[in-house]
Amino acid sequence: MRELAEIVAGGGLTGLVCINLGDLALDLLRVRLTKEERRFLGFLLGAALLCILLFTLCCLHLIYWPVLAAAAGAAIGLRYIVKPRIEPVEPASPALSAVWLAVFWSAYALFGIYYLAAAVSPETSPDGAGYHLGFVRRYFEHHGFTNSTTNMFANFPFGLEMLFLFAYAFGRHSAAALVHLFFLLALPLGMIAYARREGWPAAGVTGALLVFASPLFGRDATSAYDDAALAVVIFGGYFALRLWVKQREPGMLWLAAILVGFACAIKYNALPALFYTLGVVCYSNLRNRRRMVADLAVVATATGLMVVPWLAKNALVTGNPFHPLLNHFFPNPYFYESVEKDLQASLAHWNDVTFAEIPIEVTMRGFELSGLIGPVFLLAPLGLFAARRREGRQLLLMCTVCLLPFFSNIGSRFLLPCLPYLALLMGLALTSVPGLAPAVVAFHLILSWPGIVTRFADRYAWQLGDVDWRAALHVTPESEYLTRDQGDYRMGLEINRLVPAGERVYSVSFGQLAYHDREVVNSFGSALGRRSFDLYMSALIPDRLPAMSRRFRFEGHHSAAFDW
Amino acid sequence: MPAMNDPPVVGTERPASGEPVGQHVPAGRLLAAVSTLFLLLAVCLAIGRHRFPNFPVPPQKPELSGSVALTRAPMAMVASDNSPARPLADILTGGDSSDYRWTNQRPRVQCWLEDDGPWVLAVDVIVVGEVMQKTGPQTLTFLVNDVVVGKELLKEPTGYTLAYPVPPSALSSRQPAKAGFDIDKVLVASDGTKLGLLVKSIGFRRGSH
Repeated sequence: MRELAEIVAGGGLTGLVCINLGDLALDLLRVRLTKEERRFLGFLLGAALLCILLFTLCCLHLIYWPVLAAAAGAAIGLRYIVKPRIEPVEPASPALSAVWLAVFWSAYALFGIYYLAAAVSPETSPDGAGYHLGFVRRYFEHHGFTNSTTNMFANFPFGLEMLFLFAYAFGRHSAAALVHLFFLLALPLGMIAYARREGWPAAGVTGALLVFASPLFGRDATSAYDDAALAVVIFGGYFALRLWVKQREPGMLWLAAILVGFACAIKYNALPALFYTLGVVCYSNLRNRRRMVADLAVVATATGLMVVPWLAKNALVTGNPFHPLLNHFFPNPYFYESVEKDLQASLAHWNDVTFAEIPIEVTMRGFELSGLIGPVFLLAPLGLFAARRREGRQLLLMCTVCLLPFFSNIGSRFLLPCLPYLALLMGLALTSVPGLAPAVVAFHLILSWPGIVTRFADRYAWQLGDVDWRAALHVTPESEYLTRDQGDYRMGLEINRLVPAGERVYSVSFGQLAYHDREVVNSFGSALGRRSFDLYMSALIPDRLPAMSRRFRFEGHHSAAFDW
Repeated sequence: MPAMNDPPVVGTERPASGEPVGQHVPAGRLLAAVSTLFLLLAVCLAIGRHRFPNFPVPPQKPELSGSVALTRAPMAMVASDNSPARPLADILTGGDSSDYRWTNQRPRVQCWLEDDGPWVLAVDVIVVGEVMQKTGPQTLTFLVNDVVVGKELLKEPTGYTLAYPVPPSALSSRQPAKAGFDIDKVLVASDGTKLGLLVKSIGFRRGSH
């Protein structure tokens, strides 16, 4: 139970520090929000600020748990001392009916408990245990950033991983997954707050439950991944931007820009959302060029604050600020442009799934593209009916914007950022027919329950499945659970034992860096890995076998070389 | 069922109600109290941490955690991806549809054991009628780390569950343990493959003192 207490304390403290920081910052921004909006956007803003703080501490190599505890204490104390200024809040939007409230909170509690149990279970997700927490662990152990040029994942922006790092310091791996879950727990509340502001709360509840119960959202958010958080932060940025369009408060634009910048610091997939933000700012100031320039400067400053540090770090470490992308423009010795192109080609046509197969694969099967969002999303075209409304058209536009990165990687996870808008559009359409929305929501909740998902999805679909309660409560020790369920875990322990510290291990997979100490060089993660792969393949693939031998003789020296 | 969307207020901005943000103050106290509680809990647990090392000193021994799967499943399953036993040699690969695998003449597995025992080598095999018709009765010699722990003549084409105590000398400081059996006569298929018998599991279970 002590393990569980550490996880809950580490994850919970991280979430609470985000709330405290965000609450404080919202006062400084002087934005007018309802309580619900304040809770949702405050949490996201606090997360962005905590990300900056952790980045700074990593640069200074000050990642020690007492330092983080002191920072948490300072945030909490400051929030308590600085009293909120008295300002009018926005009027309450139409209230939800009691029945909708009951439906929402029942489903939220039911799925929430299930998700909590999954999140606190030992972290076994492929990418989570592989590299998201692998580098978090290294940053914690080395008290700051470590340079890695042999793993492409080390140089993606790690905005969310900074929050994981805070949680990891107190609760280790599962605490990080718990932090990721907090984003999903916040999303439905934010969607409802948004819908209430727009005047259609029932559609908000419908959309919120469609997203919240989606098997893929549940699977992703209970792992130390970043896709669910990315979707939530982009939605927060969109929400704040729409509020800025209505209220024209300077603080609101700062809020929107910080959140969009934070989203870019989580994953490059948020770049279209940044362009959307810039577009909205320009469109809203068409008649006032000076105002436009000033507002664009705000967006540039705020997003730059969140993103530029990561680009600078990459430029210093690898010479390519966008490493491992754009190697054509920033050639460097650590990643080949050809490998980048190979990866892009394979990710854009993952498992040779055709575009015609994608709808069924991502809604019902869930294996080839790793995850399913739920069969009810086959009704997504109904959302087009909502485009009759102005706000519906905005949702549709944002949904399209968030869909763009999907074509570069057709993994189901890359659909998550557009789901909130899609779900709200569906909510708007469904609630226009009496009785239809509750029926669809009920159908979705039933189909999304773990025991039911397995009845129609592929047996290897990436979804939560049943919770091992003994593992979730940590009655089964973590190491025992990992030994039993993770083939790579014991192998990694053996590598720890057999390979001297500082030595590298070549592997066709990237291993479980979150639990193991040695540096694993995999086939596609770096130039070194690619060269190693080619070398080993030379012995296996006939047309790569040495074709002739040539010997060169120089006066006083002997040198031999194989011509491949 | 609930009413659908409440009357839309799209395009209308209601005047500010004047409700003061100051009403958040009690909630602020609650937030501070809960946050402080979590901070204290996290700090106390971090001070008394026992679960993780402060710095990753590479362990000199594998963290076998004692209770591997051996205490859960009494026998290490060869035909399972989750098995703590790993086939080393002479065990053919198979599909998911069957728990049994064909062996060649000298099937071996490798197992990590948490201590030197006492352990019992346990195997679960099927002698195949078609093979026995060609080879006659088969004699199996059971070995652990090349130490013979038992011998058995299998006369009937049926399933056998066999177990032999493993002497401590066979295991002492010899991890991982390599276990298996030698078959005296096997069927040589037309493609040259040696077929011994079908094995479901080879592994260790706890013995008694």
